[in-house]
Amino acid sequence: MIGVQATRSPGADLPGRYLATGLVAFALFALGVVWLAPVLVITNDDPQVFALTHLAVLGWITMTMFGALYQLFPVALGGTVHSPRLGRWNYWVLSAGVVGFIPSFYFNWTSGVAIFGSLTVGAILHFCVQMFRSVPTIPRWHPTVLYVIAGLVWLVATIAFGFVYALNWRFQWFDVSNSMLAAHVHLGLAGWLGLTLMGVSYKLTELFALARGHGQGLTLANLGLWNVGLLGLVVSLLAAPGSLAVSAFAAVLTISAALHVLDMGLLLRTRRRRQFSIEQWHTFVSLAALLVAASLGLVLAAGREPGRSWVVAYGFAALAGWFGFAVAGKSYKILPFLNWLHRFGGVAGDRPVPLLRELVDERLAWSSFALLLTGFVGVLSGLLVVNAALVRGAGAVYAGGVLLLVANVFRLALPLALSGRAVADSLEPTA
Amino acid sequence: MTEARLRIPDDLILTEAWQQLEGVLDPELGVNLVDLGLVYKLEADSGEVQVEMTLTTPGCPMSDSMPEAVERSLMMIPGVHKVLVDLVWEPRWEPEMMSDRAKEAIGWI
Repeated sequence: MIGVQATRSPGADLPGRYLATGLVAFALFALGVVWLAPVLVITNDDPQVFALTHLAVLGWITMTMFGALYQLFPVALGGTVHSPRLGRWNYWVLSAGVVGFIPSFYFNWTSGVAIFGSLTVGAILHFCVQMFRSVPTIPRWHPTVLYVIAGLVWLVATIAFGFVYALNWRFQWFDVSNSMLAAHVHLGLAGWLGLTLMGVSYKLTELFALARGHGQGLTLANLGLWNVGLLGLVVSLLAAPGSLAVSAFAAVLTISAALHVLDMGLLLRTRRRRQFSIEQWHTFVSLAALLVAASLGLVLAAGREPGRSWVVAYGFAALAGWFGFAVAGKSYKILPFLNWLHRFGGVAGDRPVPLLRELVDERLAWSSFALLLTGFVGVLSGLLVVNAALVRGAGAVYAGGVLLLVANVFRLALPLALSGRAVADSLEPTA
Repeated sequence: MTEARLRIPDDLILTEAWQQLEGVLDPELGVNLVDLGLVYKLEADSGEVQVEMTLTTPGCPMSDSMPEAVERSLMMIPGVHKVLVDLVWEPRWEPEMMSDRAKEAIGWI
């Protein structure tokens, strides 16, 4: 293969589009928690709850992770995105799929779930192909690469399950049990989102905290443990639901989650930047929420559900807690960086330019963090004690935090999303 | 056609170059490249400046923009007509290479 390339970076607009869309979905998700509070305390098995969950998973977190990966590959891993041009097409197909898929769920339009679900699956598969074709260009391997590859493999498995379920929703081939749904959920949460977030966190912490000298042994061993736990959990959920094996593999995942928290702590101990940034405070909450979610998962895996909305509480702890705080915190690093490169990268050295931290309003960021944390704890508590009023009230506080965050960083994401294509576009790799 | 070029002694250019680079900040850390210890070598020869520099990590997100910022900054020095920036990864940058001023700025000491 002969390839030409002007720059490794795919251009600011590609990650910018995904990141800006992710922020919009984040705001909608937070408002959805307030809106659906009465349903959330009753059951997780409801089309509106499915819609809210997929809004968070696909519209917010996956969109954000796709954008982050388009930027991570070239700038932090040194690789080359296979085809930025196809990436731009992918954005539109994925967006169309997600925008159609979520209302279809919400209004229980089974044909829409099948049609837009298929579109979403196609776009995600295409993204995975993009990434898999980009991996060989990475010159120096880092545990992050292995985590991301594993995450992408689980993503393929997740959407394979999701695709079958979406079609089944329309054609009713078989009954989908709770355990079968749980397998799909864990493939997505623990597999795709979890491993990708962990991998990206290692790299970004190393970069931004100037962490040095952290050994990779535990990081790599825990990658193996997590995958064993997840594979075992999914197989046991499908083959022997309710068995001891489900609890045993849930315990393996819980231990692995604790090891990840320990590993991140050890990594942070090697940091040279002593003061914790706003991003790191979000990370601390995210890691605490991971432990909460893992503990809840362990209880549920044992077949106990002390409150009728504990499954929703478990999902909320994972989505809004573990992923939500991590994604929110990292937006204070990734978006200023991309915006800085876009606006000032070409004039730095020529005239004074702002620092990255000067591109976000720090007071607004801390206010957002306080509201997010208060709201998150309140919603989680409301779900655990099955109190719709508490979920709604705390959800409003949480939504306030989200809106402050979006107000702070959306103005950084939007110019990227609307920016012109990079030079690299005209120099696509040629097969 | 002969190009009229300002001829300034190389040692003066070098002095000016170090000062210029002290004005180029890492936008994440807020510390200049010299205090960070990122500039390994700076040489001037008849108005041509050569820089050997690194970044805090091979995966540094600034690997495209920082060398360009260095080039632009040095081209502003009177008498400099060419700047060559060589981005190297050996020796690998270590935080210990920072000046005390930089270590203080990032809260290390």
